[in-house]
Amino acid sequence: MSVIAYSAARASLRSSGAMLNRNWVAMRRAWILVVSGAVESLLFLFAFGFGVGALVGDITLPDGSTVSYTSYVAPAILANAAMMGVLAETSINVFAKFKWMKVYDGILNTPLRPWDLALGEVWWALIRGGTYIGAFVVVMGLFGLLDSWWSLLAIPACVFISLAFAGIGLTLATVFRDWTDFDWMMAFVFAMFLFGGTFTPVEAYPAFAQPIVYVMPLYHGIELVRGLSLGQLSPMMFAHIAYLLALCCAGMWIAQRRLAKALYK
Amino acid sequence: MTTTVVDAPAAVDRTAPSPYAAMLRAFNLQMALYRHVWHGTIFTSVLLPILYMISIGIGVGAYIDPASIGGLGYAEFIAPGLICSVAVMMLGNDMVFPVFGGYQDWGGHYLAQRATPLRPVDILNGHLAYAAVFRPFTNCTIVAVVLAFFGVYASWWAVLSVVAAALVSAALAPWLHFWASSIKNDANLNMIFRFAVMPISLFSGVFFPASEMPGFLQPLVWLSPLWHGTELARAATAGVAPALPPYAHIAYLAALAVAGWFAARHVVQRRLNF
Repeated sequence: MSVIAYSAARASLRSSGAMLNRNWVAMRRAWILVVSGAVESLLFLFAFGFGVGALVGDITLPDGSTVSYTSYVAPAILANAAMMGVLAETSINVFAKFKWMKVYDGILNTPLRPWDLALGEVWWALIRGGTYIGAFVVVMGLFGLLDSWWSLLAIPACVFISLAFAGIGLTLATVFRDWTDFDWMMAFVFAMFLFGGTFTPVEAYPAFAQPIVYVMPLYHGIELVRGLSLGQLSPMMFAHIAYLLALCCAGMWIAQRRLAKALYK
Repeated sequence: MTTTVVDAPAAVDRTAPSPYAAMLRAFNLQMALYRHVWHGTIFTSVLLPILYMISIGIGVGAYIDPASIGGLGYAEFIAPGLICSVAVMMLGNDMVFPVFGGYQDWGGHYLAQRATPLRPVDILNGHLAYAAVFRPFTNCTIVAVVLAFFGVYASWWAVLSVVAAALVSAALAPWLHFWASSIKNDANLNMIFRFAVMPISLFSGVFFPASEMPGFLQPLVWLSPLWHGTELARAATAGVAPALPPYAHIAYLAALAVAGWFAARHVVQRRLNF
């Protein structure tokens, strides 16, 4: 039984691996574009973590503990980096391959199925997001923002954020009609970055705004990464992980359904 | 059977228009394009600075002791910088992809304009008039008016912050044009956002005083047109003395604008004279 399961998994991974391989080959021409994306989050860390952080000094959290503002903001910007790398790859790039470059029309003439496409794109997005996460964590370590080895758990936590936004991005790529839709997506993403509990505790927001924040996927990612990075563990983290994983599964399933519907004509 | 009478075509004026009239024609083309896309630009040019004001200015500002920024409230501190950084963000939209695309054979508007009596320098002037005069004076004014409702201005002199924003725009626009006209590979276009527009927006004394940055980075801050513009705008809105005398800031921005115009003209003429 397990042999069958193993070979089934292997066969499925091999086809999504082919999709991954295609992206790798295509990226080699524009690698500087992909790699330099890590710079954006680092600029935000320096500006808001260190620049504004020096003005704020220490911040008192709702539970009464006090941390430096830099170590408060840095994990939130890390969560943002995990989101941005994956979202750029799965939404805009998949849209371009789907609607403009017609890459998938060709690929579906091979044994690959829409599910393999979705899975392959997610692997690829995770690799791209992973480079941003890795670069960011290294810089955090160099500037002494990692208190203990437990802080490194923030890296796997970021993978949940990446997975959630991979699902969301794939779905959006199949829903959107034109490039202008992506401007509104970026507007929404930036609003989440500014109001998802990145810069100030959500408890300090007006009461009417708090339920809206609790729906934002990025908020759950930020809470998860920040809790691990500051060493403040809580059972709520399982709820955050569950919410992010649910978004990932729902997003990928809807995306492959819609891809199949649009491509098998 | 009826015969249709075709009017004789009106005489076409084939004389070259005066430089001003030609600039106006090129400007009108940009305005015609703008009428199709203006709603997509509202977010970066109007909503984003206001969201920044609420999230950072008011939210984070609640944790900041005014003594650390010279006695100003934090919202008052960042308001002038936000007005000026709108100008920079808009240039990121107007002076990078549209300029690069202007030369492409898939419907570049520069090539189309070149087929008219317009000269390359007229095309450049028209585009700059749109990006560095029209956009800042409209959008930065809207932002400045909305920010007034946050009670961040000390006096009516705050009106001059829009002029400071327009100066920043004028100083930076020709250089972005120069750069976007010079490159051949569109993969490099995003580089200007990562290595110019974003660092300029974040490290020009908008969100925190530039003097807080490490000493070896200070000379880079002095190069940034946004820093000069923010110092001027802050003098206008909050009445604090700028780092240098105002005429020095203005002279630097003007010098940058003039030098940039000559640089951009050089490239545009090289690419459009054929």
